[in-house]
Amino acid sequence: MEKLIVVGSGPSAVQFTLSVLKKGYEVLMLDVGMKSPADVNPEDGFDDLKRNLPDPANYFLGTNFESLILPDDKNEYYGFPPNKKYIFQAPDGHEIRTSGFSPLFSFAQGGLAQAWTGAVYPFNDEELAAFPFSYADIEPHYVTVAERIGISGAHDDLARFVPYHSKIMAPLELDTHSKVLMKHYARHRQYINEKCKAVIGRSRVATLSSDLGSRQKCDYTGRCLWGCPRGSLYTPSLSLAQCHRYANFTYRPGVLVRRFQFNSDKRITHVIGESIDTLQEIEFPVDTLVLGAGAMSSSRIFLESLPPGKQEPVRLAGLMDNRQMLVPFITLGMIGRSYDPHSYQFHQMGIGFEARRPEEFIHGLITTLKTAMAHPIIQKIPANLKTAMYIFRNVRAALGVINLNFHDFRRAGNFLQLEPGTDGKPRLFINYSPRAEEPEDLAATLKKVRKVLWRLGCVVPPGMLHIRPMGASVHYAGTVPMSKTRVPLTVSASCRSHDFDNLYFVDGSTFPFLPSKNITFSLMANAVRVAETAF
Amino acid sequence: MTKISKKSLFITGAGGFVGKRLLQRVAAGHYGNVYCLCRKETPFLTAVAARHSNVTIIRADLFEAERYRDALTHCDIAVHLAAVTGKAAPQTYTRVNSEGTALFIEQCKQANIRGFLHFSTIAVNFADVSNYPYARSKQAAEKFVETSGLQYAIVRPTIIFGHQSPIWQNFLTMARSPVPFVFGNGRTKIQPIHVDDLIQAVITIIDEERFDNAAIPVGGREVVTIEGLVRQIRQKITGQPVRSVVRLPLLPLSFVLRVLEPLALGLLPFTAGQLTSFSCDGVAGANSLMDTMRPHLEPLENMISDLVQGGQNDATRTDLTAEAKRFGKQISGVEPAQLALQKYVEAHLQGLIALDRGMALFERIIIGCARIRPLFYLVEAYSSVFHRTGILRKKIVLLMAILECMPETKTAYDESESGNYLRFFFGLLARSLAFGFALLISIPIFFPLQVLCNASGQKHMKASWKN
Repeated sequence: MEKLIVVGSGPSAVQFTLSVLKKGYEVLMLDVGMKSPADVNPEDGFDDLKRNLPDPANYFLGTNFESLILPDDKNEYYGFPPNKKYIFQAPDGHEIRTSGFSPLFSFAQGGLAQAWTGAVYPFNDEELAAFPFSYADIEPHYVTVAERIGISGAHDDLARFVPYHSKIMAPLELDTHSKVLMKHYARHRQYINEKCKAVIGRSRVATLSSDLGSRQKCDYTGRCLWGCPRGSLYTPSLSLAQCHRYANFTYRPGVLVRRFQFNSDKRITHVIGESIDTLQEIEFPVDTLVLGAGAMSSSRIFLESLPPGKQEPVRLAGLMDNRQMLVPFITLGMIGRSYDPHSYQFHQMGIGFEARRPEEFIHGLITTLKTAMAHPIIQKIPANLKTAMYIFRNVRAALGVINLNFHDFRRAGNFLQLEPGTDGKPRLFINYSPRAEEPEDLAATLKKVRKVLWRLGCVVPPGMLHIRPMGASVHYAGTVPMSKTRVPLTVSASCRSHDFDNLYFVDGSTFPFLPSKNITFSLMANAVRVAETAF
Repeated sequence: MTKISKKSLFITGAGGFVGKRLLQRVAAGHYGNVYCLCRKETPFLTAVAARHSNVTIIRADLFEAERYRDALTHCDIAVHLAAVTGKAAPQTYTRVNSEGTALFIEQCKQANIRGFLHFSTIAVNFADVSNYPYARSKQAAEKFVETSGLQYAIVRPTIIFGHQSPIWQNFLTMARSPVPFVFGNGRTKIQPIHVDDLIQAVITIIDEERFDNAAIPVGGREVVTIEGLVRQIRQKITGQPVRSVVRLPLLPLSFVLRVLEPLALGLLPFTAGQLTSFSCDGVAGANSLMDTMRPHLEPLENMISDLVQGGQNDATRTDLTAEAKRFGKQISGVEPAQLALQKYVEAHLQGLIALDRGMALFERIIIGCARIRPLFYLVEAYSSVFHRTGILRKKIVLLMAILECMPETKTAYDESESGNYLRFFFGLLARSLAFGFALLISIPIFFPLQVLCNASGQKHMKASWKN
């Protein structure tokens, strides 16, 4: 059987690998493979951790206080959990330069999705219009992934924008705050649907509401943000563990793949990696190479492998990412009530807004605040400490945030290219400018969001709106897109390179359009589609 | 010649600054039993006793002779360090330092102590001690020793430096203040000695049994003026030459303190008596013990260097711990747990938040005011509006983050008014009014200061660019 080299261990790489392993292919997975620390006190709930850990500040804030947010930090409402910092740990020699873009890279086992919030929203036909296949073509693969990772959700109003498919478990239990919001939605549904052109429904999440294999269903201990110790929330490292059960699978961590070599027939012969310990180059002979390291890393490997441009450096144009806008809100009916940490912590509801064109539908994830750290929020309240603490205590149960995503499309001005780095090795240069009409879209959407929130009994506190920088959503796509015509620097419908016959891309780099949805589910489904149709 | 013998020692005041160092040396040394008399057992004493089986802690007052009499009979040498120092009422000095010594001498006589080492002070030689009750109490104590009939040695140290030395902390305060200052004309001579050198002198006396019924002034290697010392410390801290040192007139200050002492001793930072040290030379002079030791004594420059550099962390830790306790009480209503205090200090030492010495002038003023309890509310209200990214806010946010993780204080972030809107409304109203009021008072105080400090900072920067 043909020997495949798969680069990366993120969601698409592991789903692709699982499919081809089942078919009997021999797979060598090359990965930098930073490992996650062991889970602490798996039986403890969120509050128990504070009681039982010898140094709870170390766990929640980090040994070097890396999750502490100070008043002059211009970042998010929450500190990234210290036990997940390995996800962004980079090997020596990883260098990039950016303009208008703040990308996140991961070299961890499982990739960036080790830190995702589990949103699984399939693309609909309108959103797939630029793709060389329809929803009907990819639906079976969505279902396969749903069976593998476990998805909970409901068939409700959101299905208008988010196709409902089989193998979806019953939804998770709602927390009190989300229940109140859903109650308000039921009361004002007609107004919200018709006047605001919006729908609300239960989030589809890759979290188990019933046991799946050895993975246990969510037990509502409130530790989602800090890393689910039961495996109820799916992460790609769980699929990587499944790959290890196959005799035809070899995992080689500690290797940063830099480029590939090819012969005069444009067939790739070797993959060149670099040991992250010794920095020595290692050669791997290859029959077929599958790049699944994420759009950024796969593009870098591709660029490093291509012959240099005759005059201008080679550019991979069309980089896309979802702009995200965080709209915090306070539910008036929840003020003064106690918050319950024993609940699912990520978004439990989703919202969708109609847009000018169907594919430009705007999607938002509604998260009610529960166990996130309080200090990033308290410091933003425009009052002195005592008053701010008092306000926070009494509105904690009423706080929530809508994370709105905006679509993106491929534009020539947004590109990746290589340039000489400080150590002499090539480094990636990322250039991005947002859509011209973006400010207008954001303002118009915000107006609608405020209207909907008001109907739900919520207000948006002044001065708390946050437009995340491009790159923050980590939904990178579009650099080596699927194309029906055989043009350089693109791939076929089965994601085979139009430049090299034995090269496949199975990550976001092949997406020709980026709807306003978390793309991880579609990445996984597409990777399975490639494995099922091309191998 | 050094006699190597298993002498048993009885030490009073072993928990004090000098006593601790002495105990550390003798506990690990070639001595028999070591009995330590102390009024309260500190973690330090407990730890030493746990590590060294020959060390026994006796919890008692000097006046509770019945509790230590028996132990004293097993000892060869008594080292009498216990004394009231620093700020106290004159009668307290007399009772503990004079009468307590007299009583202890009686017990030592009954126990047939072979050598009595009395710890006195160079201040007994001051020309005028009429306003210095501590020195007077020590003079009286020396009289009791001299007439006791015991074989004795009286050690009269000059000012003692070392990590956590109270007098070193005072000099640090003078040198570290935005404008360095001294009390008096600054020309008074002193001869600082490192505590380890002092302990070596004490050990020499014990080991060589130099109980020659004499007083031994013990001082450091060099004599220096007070202003000279403050300048040296300041220069070591800032790395820059010291332009000027403010000399605060002693007479009016001393007069004011004398008037206030009987009324509000507890509120005063120091006493008129303590100021005497700034007007009377405190120099040890020549004697055979010190002449032998002098070549081995720590040079003043090394001492300052070591204490400033190494001790900065100690001082910083102490300051930050006190600060965390104060701020923590404001945040959660209770004193933070020990672990929370440690984390607060750790974050500062990791460089997350600037330390005092690295702060701009206005930041230093703000932090200084926040450390004074009644001013905390004002300065915090001001910072929350006009200085939101300042160091005070950072410190408070850091502490809030730490307290949020701790089981003892997490409820301060969790407990609501349980859905009682009315209570929440009035609670919010009361707090908002208090905040508004504090803000109104703080603006005329801190806003001009902020403007002035910013302007002077910019002027300074422009001057640096020109240079």
